[in-house]
Amino acid sequence: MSGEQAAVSAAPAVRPARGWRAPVLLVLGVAAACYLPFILTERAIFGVRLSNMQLLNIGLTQVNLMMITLLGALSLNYLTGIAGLISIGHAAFYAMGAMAGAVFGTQLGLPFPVVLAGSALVGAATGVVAGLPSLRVRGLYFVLSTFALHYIVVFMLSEYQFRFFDVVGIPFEEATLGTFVLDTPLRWYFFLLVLCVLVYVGLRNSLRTREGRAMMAMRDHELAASAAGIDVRILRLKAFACSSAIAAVAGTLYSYYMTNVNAEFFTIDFAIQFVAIIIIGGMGSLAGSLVGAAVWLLLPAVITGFAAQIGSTDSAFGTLLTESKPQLVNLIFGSLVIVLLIFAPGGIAGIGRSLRDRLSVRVR
Amino acid sequence: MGMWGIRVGPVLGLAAGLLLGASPLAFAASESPADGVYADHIDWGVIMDLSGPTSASQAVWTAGIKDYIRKVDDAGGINGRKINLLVEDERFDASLDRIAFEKLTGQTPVLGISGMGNASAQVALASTIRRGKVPVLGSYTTTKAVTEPPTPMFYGGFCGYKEMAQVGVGALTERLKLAAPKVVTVHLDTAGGKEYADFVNAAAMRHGGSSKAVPIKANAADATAQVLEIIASKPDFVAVHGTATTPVLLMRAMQQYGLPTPVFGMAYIGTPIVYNSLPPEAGSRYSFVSCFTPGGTDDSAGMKAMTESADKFGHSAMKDDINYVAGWVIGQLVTEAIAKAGPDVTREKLVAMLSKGFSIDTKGLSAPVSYTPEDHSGIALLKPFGFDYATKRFTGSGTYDEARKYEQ
Repeated sequence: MSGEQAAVSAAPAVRPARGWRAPVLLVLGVAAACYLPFILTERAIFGVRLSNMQLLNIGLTQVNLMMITLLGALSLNYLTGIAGLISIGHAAFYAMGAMAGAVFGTQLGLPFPVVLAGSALVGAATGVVAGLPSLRVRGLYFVLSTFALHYIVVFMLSEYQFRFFDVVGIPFEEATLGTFVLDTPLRWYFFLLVLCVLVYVGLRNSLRTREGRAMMAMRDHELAASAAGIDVRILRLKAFACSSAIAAVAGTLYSYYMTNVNAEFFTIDFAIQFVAIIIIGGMGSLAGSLVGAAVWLLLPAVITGFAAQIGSTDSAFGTLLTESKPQLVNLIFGSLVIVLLIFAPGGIAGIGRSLRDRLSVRVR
Repeated sequence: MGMWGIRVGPVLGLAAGLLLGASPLAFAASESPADGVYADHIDWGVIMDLSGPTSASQAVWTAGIKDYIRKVDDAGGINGRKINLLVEDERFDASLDRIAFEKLTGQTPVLGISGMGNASAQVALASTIRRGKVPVLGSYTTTKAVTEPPTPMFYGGFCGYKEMAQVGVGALTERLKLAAPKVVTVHLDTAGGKEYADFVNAAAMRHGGSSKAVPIKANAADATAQVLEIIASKPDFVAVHGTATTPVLLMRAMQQYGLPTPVFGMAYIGTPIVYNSLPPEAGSRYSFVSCFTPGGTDDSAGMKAMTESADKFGHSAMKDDINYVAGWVIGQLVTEAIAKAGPDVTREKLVAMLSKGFSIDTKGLSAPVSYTPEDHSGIALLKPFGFDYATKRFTGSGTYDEARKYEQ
């Protein structure tokens, strides 16, 4: 049983009063989220300058790109963790978002919010098409169909790019929301933060609906779900449409953030990172997607920072780090992920759940 | 439980813990001038692919620049300051390029940046570079987005695709005494590959000939399909774009089919590993064009100094690789630019100095490296190179200046 499912099914009809802690923590969390970009930009907290390592070698651009990736991870977790449909074609939806963004934004010059809405619609339509094989095939065969989708869409993007743009890529103008121009990492941060919260809350709330529960039922036992009157075929397509719409929007945001995209950006590695993120974070846990994205995208930077720190010393290990830092960083990161998967097969969300359960048992 | 099911307390606690946990590393905190210039050292950035698909060549380039900087530092640095290279691994991922660029701009500020070997990422960063504060000096690849029109913030540092195509086609057309060369370009199915094929086509047409583009995958394990297309096209010679594996696969497949057609590669794939992977009868038909002189080709003063340092720093095996030479030359370019900008160097002063025009004498290691206010490509001349299997040394044809006639 996944985290969300557990949370939903175990939720009591009337929740006990939370007292003052929840609102206070919420205010503190919002304050921290609002102050974080200023810390990362100014490299100081309340006027006290911090070293790069005190800020864990993390910058605001990393956080922004992590949030864009988080949208992709949330959408894949919804599709795979909640609806039980395994896909390795998520880069294709990103690429479709990039292409839709290029058509609506770069070529037609439509306003940024309209571009995002258009991307969502194109993404949803692509998702429905991508989900059609799920009506006939299952398991690895279906995974292969998403794999094929990846190459079809990337080929389409490549042909589109060479037909209408330069070989070096598709240019994107600066995104604007009315008079608010997203021309700095700081502005992007607040825009992405709001968007991520909206998507997260929207997905989470959708799990509490009849369809959300039906999706989890379909994932857990398709035959039983069908017997209970759920039309699993329609549900699968809906899951795909919703997931790919979010991923396409993320692809458009990625394109605007990068200011230029190339079909080469959307590799199969790019697609597999989303699978890795939801496995690390916790399959079926939306909150786990956040943790997974942070681990996948920020941890290498943290390790690199520490490696650079140690590498600047005169020790033998320091010399080794200086000579082979990228390889050692990858080795350490890969090892940490393997250790995590061995000891926490449910991902980081699984660790959180077991800690919570232990604590609650002690309290009783 | 907080709102939306997130346990806010532990999250905040974790964040605070991480922040405080890093406090012991406060020894790293020190005055951090926005330009990366300190009393005893200058921070200089390098962004290259060190663990991704192009690391085989870009890591060698990085070793070259590191060794030159180390040589300068061992001799006391520049104006009493040592040069500290901050090397960022971008794994050939454009988003990591952006992260690294932003980091070197403000997070761990540097005086300037070299490398940036990912063309797509460079284009994506072009507007940021143009309006940014950090100059890019000595790039590993140069795109039109940053050189046309030239910006005071960008200075190339490698042979251009257009020039490589022109010299390669021109030299082989002359050597084979062709009236109208018929060329096949085997290229990676990437943006760069398509661009190179277009340049080869333009160069062939200039000589009254024609060319056909034949794509190959970057992860290809065999080039039989491409060789069958070459056989069908009956070209006078073949141009190749790719990684080090591409010419090896191609030459081996051509040998298998008994195809004696000459092949020329671009500078990036004129490396010892290509020749060492081929039998002499196949390798002797392969040449490449380069604006850098591979180690061991001659006994110029620059070559001697580079060889000595490469041996000293344990990189003897790399010195014959033009990527190492290119990195070494960019090391020289960077240090001489910093020295010329004066003892109170800042980004602004460096850019002001570079934008007026700047050149260095690499003492035989490359074609002249020169920037003018109108042209920031840096290295414009190239010449063909081959490999002598008897002496195990690279051989150059003529001088860089003689090859000027092939370029438009």
